[in-house]
Amino acid sequence: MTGPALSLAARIKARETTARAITEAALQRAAARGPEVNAFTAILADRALAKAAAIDATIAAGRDPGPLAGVPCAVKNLFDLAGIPTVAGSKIRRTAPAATGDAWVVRQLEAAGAICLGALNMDEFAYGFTTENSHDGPARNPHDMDHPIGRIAGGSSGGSGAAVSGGFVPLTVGTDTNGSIRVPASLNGIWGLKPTYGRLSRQGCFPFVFALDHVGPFARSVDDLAAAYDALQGLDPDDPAQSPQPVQAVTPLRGSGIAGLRIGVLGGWFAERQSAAARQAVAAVAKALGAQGTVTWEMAEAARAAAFLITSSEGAALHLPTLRTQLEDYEPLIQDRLLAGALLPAAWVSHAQRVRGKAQRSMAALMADWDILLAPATPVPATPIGQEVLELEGQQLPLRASMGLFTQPISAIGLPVITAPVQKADGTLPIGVQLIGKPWTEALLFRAAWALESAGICAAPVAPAFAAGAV
Amino acid sequence: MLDPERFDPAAHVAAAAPMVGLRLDAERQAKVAAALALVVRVAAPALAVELTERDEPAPVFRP
Repeated sequence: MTGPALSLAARIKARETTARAITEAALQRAAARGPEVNAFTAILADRALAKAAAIDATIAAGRDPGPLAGVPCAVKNLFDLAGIPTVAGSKIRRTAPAATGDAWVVRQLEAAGAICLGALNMDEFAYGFTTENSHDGPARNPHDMDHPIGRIAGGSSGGSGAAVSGGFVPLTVGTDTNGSIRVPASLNGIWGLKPTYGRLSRQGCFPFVFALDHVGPFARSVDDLAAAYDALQGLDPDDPAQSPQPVQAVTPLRGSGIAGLRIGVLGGWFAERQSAAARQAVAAVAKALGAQGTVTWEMAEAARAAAFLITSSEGAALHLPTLRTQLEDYEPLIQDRLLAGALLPAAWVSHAQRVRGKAQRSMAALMADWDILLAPATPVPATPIGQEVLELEGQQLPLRASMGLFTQPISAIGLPVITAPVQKADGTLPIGVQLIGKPWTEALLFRAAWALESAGICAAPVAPAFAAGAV
Repeated sequence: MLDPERFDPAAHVAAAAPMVGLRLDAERQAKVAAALALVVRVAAPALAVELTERDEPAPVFRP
């Protein structure tokens, strides 16, 4: 097994080092270089060191500490961490009562031996693709520290992306409602998994849009991503949206190859309004996987539109009580969006839910002939912080809404996606390609991801400016 | 479902905000109308999809 997380676990289990030594090194790095990228919003050193001591004691006693023994990790700050408020990127929730327990994802990773160092920056209430957070400051993309303002780390799980690409931790967890795992994975040049809707428990996760929220991991190698995903699986009666699917471990599939997989490229909507970098990345991945054709999903734009409408309405309705009384405490970038969403006619939202069902059925028919479809994850690599407009093929588009052009139609119908990173896609910056599967076929996506990694087409090294001393 | 030529975001905001308990001054109403116009522009392709009575949303969403 390779990958920075599993390599650390192997060294700790072989007693070449200790969980305490690795944890201390990670905490020191987060303190020394963390402010440069602003990925962390809370560091829980005492908790992490106590957990590290427990892992070392388990090893000393000759017991199995788990596959992720001593691996430092961190989670988006909308996941409950016992003892601190779950702020979800907001100012409003800084005075919320402290969480009384850990979220499912934290409990699962720590049950596998991982050590949670703390909480990560995000767009307020997950409503954004850029992690330009006015309360905590923007997360900065580690791939371009020479830019005078800095480039976005993507969002809404921008801290989760930057913490991995900056070598602060090898594993993080984020959420994806319209692209919030896939966009930061793309812009940070790392692996990200948005599983099938209903696969992983969302217990202990502050909601954005119940109908569309997913959770999933980020990593710098496919082995690590697989290990994290396997740790996160399991049935949880406390998530009413989870489907009763059996655990399907993907780690044993390493090396099984892609023979027999029918792989195609999504055209139409997914081939328009994008940079040369996005187009070339998809072409490189398609060639490496032996893609056999291009297909068009006629309902892509309608599915994206339905997701946009459902998100606007459901996301706003969740916040209506506080919008009435604490409007000015919300992130300035989303105040008007939330207010507009609260005023949408119910008939439109009901229509959008029915369109979503129709879109799901149309894609199921299309995918009868395919196992994996490819599409760009983002239209462009990371843009400068503060940029408002994206110019693509002669069209001027609102940047913050358009980073999800290619992710939003897919999460609208709940399909699983691995974002595969292509480095130096524009000569300098990385960009991601979506490997899109049918429901509950994450295992096939991992087989393709391993093939891309072993062929050298996709990789997720630490950003060069942060390579020294990376965890 | 939607007639973009006839939909007036400013009028809609002025009428609907009080119904959900939002008191918005004129400056805020103008900003919210602009945000609503963007939502409507992006959402229009969904609202243009023709559905039959049998096109129902999933009671429990199974992708």
